[in-house]
Amino acid sequence: MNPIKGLIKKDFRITRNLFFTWAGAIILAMGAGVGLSAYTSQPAGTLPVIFLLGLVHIVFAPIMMFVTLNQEAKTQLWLYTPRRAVDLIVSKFTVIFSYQLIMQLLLSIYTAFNLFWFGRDVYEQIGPRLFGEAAIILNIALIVFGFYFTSCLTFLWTVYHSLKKRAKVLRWAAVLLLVFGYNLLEGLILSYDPLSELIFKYKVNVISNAALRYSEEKWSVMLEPAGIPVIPLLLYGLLIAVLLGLAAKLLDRKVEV
Amino acid sequence: MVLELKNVSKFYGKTAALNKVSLTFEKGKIYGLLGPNGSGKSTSLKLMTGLVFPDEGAVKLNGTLVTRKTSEKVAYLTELDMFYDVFTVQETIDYVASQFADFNKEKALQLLQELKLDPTKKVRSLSKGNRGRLKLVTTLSRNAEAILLDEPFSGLDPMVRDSIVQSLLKYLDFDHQVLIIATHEINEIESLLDEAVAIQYGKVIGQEKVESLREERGLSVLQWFKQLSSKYGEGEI
Amino acid sequence: MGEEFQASKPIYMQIVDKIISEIVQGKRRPGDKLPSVREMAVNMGVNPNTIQRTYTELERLKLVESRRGQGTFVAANEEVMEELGTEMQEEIIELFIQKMEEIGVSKDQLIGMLQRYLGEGR
Repeated sequence: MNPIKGLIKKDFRITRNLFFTWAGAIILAMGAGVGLSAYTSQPAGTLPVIFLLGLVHIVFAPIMMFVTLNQEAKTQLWLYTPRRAVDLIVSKFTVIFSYQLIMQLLLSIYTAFNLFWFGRDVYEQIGPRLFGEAAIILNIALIVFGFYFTSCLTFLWTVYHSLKKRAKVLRWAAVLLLVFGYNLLEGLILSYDPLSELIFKYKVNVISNAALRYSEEKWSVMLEPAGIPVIPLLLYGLLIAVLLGLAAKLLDRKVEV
Repeated sequence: MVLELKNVSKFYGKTAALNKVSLTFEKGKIYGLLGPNGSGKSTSLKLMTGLVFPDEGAVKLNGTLVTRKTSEKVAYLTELDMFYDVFTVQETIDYVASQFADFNKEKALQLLQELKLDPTKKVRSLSKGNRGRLKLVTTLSRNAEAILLDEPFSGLDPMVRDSIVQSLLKYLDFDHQVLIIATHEINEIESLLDEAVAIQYGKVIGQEKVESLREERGLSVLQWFKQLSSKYGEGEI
Repeated sequence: MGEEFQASKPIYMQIVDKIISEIVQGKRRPGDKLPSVREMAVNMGVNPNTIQRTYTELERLKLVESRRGQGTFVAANEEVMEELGTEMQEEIIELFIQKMEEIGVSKDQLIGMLQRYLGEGR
């Protein structure tokens, strides 16, 4: 078995149970959404479920990453390998990314199911083409956000564990300082109007707004297009790379067993 | 093959786990790194594997500074539990084999049989003794230049110790490998050693050839260690 | 560990003694092959370098000979064997006399007792 494959297999193996539990819970929630909506004869009731599940999957990847990093932190002996730290991290990313894809696929199917079949009388109907476009863009955005947060978390985790020799308060202080400092910087940059205008200039219009409307004792769902800015997505992609690079460097040179 | 610590210090907070330690290890020999718990033995081994980095001084393998990548050539057995609970014995071996190019799967299979480990068993369900054996299988199956064992006998009953010592002697390649055993159980390994290094409070307090100790001073390693230890202040062994 | 060793004597010499006594007792006969250094080390639970020294010492004493590519064999050296036998006999007699002297038996008494003992024993 080649070493990268070995790493991926290991990472899959140690997170598998958690993933299955998560997927089970989500499927249960989806079922409950449909069941409850059918029981109350309000098929639009699945919209909040879709919305909520979408939100939850922004934090899914970071949560998985946090859990698996802490599995390793018990002994830190995952560092006992000649592989570069970036390989160790990328392996975890690969596994979590595939989980994320599976979950988003489930969520997309669930949405399609509600839109075109279960809730077809109350959901404003859009054609498969528009739905497909929206699904692709929204899925990409969800992945980018999820993995941006995952990278932040990974980086902060390595900062915390680089400071193993220091007092706990100090380690947390360093992490919090980074978070606040970064947010301040981000705010500052965005408060510079020409720059923020540029960042938000290019948008793709896809169906991404949904609103519930109540009339004649029936809830229905209105769908509207909204602009999704493209450049921030690219910037987040760049940030992911930078944060991972930094995390790998710390993991290689500073985090000890 | 030469492993050396040159004037190495390592601090944890204000306490020095190692304080200006210089040591050299050469192939074809078995060394004992002897000292009470917390004396700096484990830190020394981790430094030589590239799992921990020195605050002062240098750690070198064959003249090059030790980094994470050094674990390619150094097999390290931790005193901690190194495995993933959900793995089976076989999966554990497959994982270690995938990470180290020098891993010899046949040797691992042989060792599994000799140490009577069931490859299908989950690590979670193994007894402490069997976990110790599994750690040994994964370490000894590597044709690494250096084999570093941290407390390989802790928690193992005498029968297991014997079989482990025998495996050690059987599979060590004296033409290419060095074996360093860190332990506080001196009597258990005395007859295995070429040289003994006594370490206490992060300092090397003595280093002798085992047979010379007996020949010239009529001392066993344990007696020698006790003499040194009382000279350098308390420190139970 | 396979063997227990005394603290004050080099381990390799203790193994030399052990093998000599096995030869004298006939447990190892001239021409018998000794285990390889590695095997012996594994059996005794000691460092192979120690066994190497043991074998070198045995060779120096002309009790064993190593044949290139074949291993180490107990020497068919009657002279040395005889000498070794004599040595051991002398050692035992010396020990016996020493013990007898310790309990106050004089040399004359000792000879008398031995003659009587052996005479009756027949």
